[in-house]
Amino acid sequence: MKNGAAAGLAVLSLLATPLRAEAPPKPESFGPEMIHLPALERQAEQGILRPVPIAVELPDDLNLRARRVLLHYRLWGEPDWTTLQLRSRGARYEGAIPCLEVSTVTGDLKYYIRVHDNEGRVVASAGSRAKPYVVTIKNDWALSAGAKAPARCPDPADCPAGLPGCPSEKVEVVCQTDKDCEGGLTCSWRGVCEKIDRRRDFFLLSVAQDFGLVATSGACSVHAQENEGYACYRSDGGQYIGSPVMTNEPVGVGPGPTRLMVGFEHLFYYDTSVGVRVGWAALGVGPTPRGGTPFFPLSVALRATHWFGSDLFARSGWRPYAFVTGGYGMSDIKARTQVREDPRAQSRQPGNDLEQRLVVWKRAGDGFVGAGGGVAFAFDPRRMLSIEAALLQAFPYGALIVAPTLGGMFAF
Amino acid sequence: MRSETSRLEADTPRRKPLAFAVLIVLLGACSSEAMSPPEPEVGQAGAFIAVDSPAGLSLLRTLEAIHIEGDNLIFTTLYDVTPASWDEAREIAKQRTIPIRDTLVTISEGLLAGRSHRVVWFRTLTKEEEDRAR
Repeated sequence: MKNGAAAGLAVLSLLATPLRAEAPPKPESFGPEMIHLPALERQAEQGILRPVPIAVELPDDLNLRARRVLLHYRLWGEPDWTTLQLRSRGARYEGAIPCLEVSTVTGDLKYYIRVHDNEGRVVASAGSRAKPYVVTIKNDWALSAGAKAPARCPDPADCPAGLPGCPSEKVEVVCQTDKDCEGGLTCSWRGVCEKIDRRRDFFLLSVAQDFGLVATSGACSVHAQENEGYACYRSDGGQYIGSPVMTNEPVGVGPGPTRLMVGFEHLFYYDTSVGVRVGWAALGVGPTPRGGTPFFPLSVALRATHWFGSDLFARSGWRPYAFVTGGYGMSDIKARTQVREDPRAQSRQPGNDLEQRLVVWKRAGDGFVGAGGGVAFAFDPRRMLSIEAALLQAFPYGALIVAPTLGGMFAF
Repeated sequence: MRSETSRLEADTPRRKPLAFAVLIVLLGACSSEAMSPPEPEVGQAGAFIAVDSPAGLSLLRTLEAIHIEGDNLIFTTLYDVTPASWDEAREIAKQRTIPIRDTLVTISEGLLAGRSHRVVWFRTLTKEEEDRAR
């Protein structure tokens, strides 16, 4: 469209015969339709200080699905693209790049058009950032002979935003996914494109130290050691198999395994994420008594996390959170207890004093559920450091486990 | 009406001690701490016995006890120590290695009862200690 008579009106049409647009392909895939126009119609020219009217006419089937038609344009020398919503008149959508924005700068003005449906999806487009339409802004004397010269800009003081020829209003581009946004913009949780480096998927590395609370009353009886996951050891290192008197002993508290963990976290809403953690117990594993179940160092946990705050992942800084978790994992808890030997019982083991202090190992697990909380500090959208504590109940071999964890999360 | 109130008030103090007593009994029944653990006795193998004599305290350890003619005959090991008190005797008994004066001494529980003595400690016998009495 290089003829001067139509220089000021770049019309994209799917139906209008003068421009002879090709019919759009049927939507056989989930991607947007491409509005094809002959290469000739990608060029136009316009005088300075004049609006550039844009109109597009959609085919009926596309018009039924269209909710908004957005014009994206970039003036010569401008680093950013500007968006303008075209007004609907039936199947025809019209608008104009304001003459005050065209101003007196000569050069190529680039633009393309995208059609969005009710949910913000791009259902059709004409041109693209990579291959836009071009209107060359020229001085009046340089325009082709016979080019139409519409009126110049009105007085800016009488020019409300949004009117043709006046400065355009900024339009938020509706989106569903990041794919609906261009130029490094990401789709926000409000469903509009924003210039924010928003990350939703994180890789995680952390180290956790278990601490456990275990009941030690009766823990060193032969029955408890054979059936409840306990193992008691004397000061000489031998396993205790004596005849203890049942006494009230306080709850034992002691360290459990130190775990190295890797994980994945996916943010599926601005304040909610789900993740998985795989751990390896590197330290703190107790001895396995004869006939006992060997310790399995691998652990797997699923978790759901709630992040407290409004769209925390849109900015750096503190990110407090709470989570629930559950999974598979063994935990050896080391505690100490006092045992009193029953002098009336038939001796089963030599050398057991009337009273002695024993080391108790409780092999808790293999399942666990729990909850916890923590806080993360995001240095930037891609990196954050977190510290948290979880309170876990192990089952069927019970123990209450507190697991403080220090970790780093890295977006990808 | 006044007399009824007075009667109720008069009843109340009598009920409080009763309820308190029931509570104490129930709490006692629920607490195993209320039960004292079994203490070792002279005739139980492994018991350490401190016996008072004119020469001072002696320390013995029961290896085995047999019942003969209405008395218990106790086979013991006599240690070569002279504790100054019952507490010291207990501390010596807790040690794993104690010097022995006589590996097998037989005493009558009846005669022992005539002297001041205490069971100060207990430890299950080793195989070697069990064999001394056989």
